[in-house]
Amino acid sequence: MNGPHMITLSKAKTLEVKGLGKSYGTLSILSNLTLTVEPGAFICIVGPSGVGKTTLLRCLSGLAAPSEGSVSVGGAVISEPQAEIGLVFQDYRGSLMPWMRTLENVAFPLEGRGVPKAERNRIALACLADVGLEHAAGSYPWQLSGGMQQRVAIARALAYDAHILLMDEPFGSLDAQTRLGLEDLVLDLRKRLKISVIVVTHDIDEAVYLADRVVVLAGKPATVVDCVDVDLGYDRDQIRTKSDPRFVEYRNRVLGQIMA
Amino acid sequence: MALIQQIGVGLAVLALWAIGDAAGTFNPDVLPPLRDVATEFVAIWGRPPFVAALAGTLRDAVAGVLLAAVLAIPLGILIGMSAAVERATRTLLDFGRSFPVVALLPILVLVIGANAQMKIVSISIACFFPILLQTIYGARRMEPTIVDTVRSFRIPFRLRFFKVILPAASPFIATGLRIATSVSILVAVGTEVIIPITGLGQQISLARVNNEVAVAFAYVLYAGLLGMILTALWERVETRVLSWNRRGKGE
Amino acid sequence: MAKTRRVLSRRLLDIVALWWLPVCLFALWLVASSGSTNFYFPPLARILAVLWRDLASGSLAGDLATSLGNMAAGLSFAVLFGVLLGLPIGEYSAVRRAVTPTLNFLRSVPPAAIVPIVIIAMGIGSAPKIFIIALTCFWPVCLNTIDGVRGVSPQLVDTARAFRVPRLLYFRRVLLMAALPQIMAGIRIAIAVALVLMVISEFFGASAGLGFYINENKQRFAMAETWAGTLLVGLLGYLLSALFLRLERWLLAWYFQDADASGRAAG
Repeated sequence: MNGPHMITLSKAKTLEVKGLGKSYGTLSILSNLTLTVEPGAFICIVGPSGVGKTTLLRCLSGLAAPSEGSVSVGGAVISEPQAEIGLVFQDYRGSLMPWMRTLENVAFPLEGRGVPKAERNRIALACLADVGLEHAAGSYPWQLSGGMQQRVAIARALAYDAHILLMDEPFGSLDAQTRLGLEDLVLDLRKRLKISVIVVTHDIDEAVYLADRVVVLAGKPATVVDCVDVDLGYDRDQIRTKSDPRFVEYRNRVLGQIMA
Repeated sequence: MALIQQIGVGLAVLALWAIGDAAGTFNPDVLPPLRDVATEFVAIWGRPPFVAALAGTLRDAVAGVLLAAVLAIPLGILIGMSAAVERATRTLLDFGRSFPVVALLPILVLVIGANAQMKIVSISIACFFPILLQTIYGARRMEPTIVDTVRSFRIPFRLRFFKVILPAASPFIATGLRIATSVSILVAVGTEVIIPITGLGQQISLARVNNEVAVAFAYVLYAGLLGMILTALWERVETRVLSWNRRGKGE
Repeated sequence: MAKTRRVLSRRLLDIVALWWLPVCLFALWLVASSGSTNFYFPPLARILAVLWRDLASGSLAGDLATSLGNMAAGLSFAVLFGVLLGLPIGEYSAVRRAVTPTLNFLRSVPPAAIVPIVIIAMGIGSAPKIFIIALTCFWPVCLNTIDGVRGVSPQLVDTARAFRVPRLLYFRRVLLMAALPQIMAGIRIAIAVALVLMVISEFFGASAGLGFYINENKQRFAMAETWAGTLLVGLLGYLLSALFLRLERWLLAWYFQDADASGRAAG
């Protein structure tokens, strides 16, 4: 399925999921899941609570191995975390290291790659600037607000030079206003850096607002029941886009699938 | 599967021991040959002092814990019921808690004598503080809503003590008793090692002095088993008696 | 200016609230025992005088140094091996499950039980004491390290995996740090254990040290000196514990701040 607006010149590779199934023991969570994420695409995955969105994300990121089928990046099948994929968790408090300052946290994946200190700090600072937090480089995570901590987590994924950003309900723990600001941040990052973004969320408005395509999961075991192409252009605006009648149309369509 | 691995680890330790013996790497004075220790481990039941020593350590340890509990629990609740009192006593209790009771043994021996009573006194001093501190902690850690409820209904002191604070503190008291149980064995053996009073520690000392290292070692193993069994027993009691409080593992 | 004065006077009040009772009791002891002719309970004033005398000009200072030195050496070994072994055991759950019953048994052995065996075999010098302390203090450190590793937030583990952090770096900068609060608690326990074992082993057989000082004086029925030594041990226990708590607060500032912040955020 072709995305409506493919960004050329994106560094990202195509992420392909073919017939993915995941079971834990006899419990089958995902089954026969197929989906393609083209370079530079913004995909949102929605579904009812507990359907297995997080399990899917873990398979996509390589943290969990599929029971059936495959996940491949740029044509190569993956079974463990990749260099191209950056992960942002829902619980930012649990994933930022409280004993490291912000700059150290963002630079840590690079430290893991053996990048020398001066170089990795430079990159980390640039990524912090990308999310508007260069002034917070010397702070500890607990000194920052929830929204800021989540931005640090995003900066960290960027520093990792991820071309594919995977986000698991990234804004769920934040208040409404902060959430809107971060939604726009991620849209902006996608546009500027030309990365692919996959966001798992339960918030349908958010999904339709952000995505080029909304993938709806449902069923037990979960599978893709619908793919909604969202043709609202690249430049989205919280007020204008959300009052567009097409927005409402897409939203209702997705909502209908989930509530069915 | 896990059980097999666990037994495997135990066997591996024994195997290493045996190999070390054969290779002569161990100082037989510190780590006697496995064969000898294994023999003594069984043969020890035939030695007259063994059961008496076991009983001596166990009996005095239990007596010490009970004595400490009888004093510490009521005192702990009383202290815990008042923030002012808790603050006033905090430094004293910090001091008492970090005081190694064994250092008192020379004075205790001089004042009371080298007998079972002295041992029980030193054990109860050692057990007093963990029980007291856990009880205070439990008494202070009340759900704010319960505190408010009790105050708004102006519940009188005695009722508060027995029906509100004591039950609420009981998981912590249980923890304190568990800690005290293991402390009591440690202090009992520690006392017996230095001062000749009936008990496992004394037998270890005697055996070693008589150059029966394997026997001493066997005693050491039994001391360990005793501690393990008591703690396991106590945990069993704890889970059964405190089944109503699943949050009770707050340590 | 007024604010600092208020803060200072509040701190002063805090100190008074915590110390008035011990100070009063101490003064009471001092006064009540001043005319004591009881052999076993000499006047506190005399005990303190003897303590001062022996510290300033007697061997007590050297004994103290010996004891502390042995403790420090033993603890260093215990902490080093305890952490080095505890981290991998805690991390690899298969290993941990297999090893746990054996560990539980070994740590149940009363530490004092090995004192006769080691000292008679190895003598009354420093080495056997260090060996005993290292061997027995290993357990609280190791077991707490294991617990600390087990308690690490799964998100941190996932994060490190997702970003492909290499093993050694992961152990050093993630696991060790995340488990550090629990490890420090283990070291705190180990320090108390070390003090006890130091006393016991010096009572059993020694030629120097704090325990040796107490025992010597007890044999000679020098009551004031015996009490002085005992008080010094008590003081040492309290100081070590208090100092270590201070160290913990400083080293783990990020942990306490973080817990504070999340406590506030949670409600």
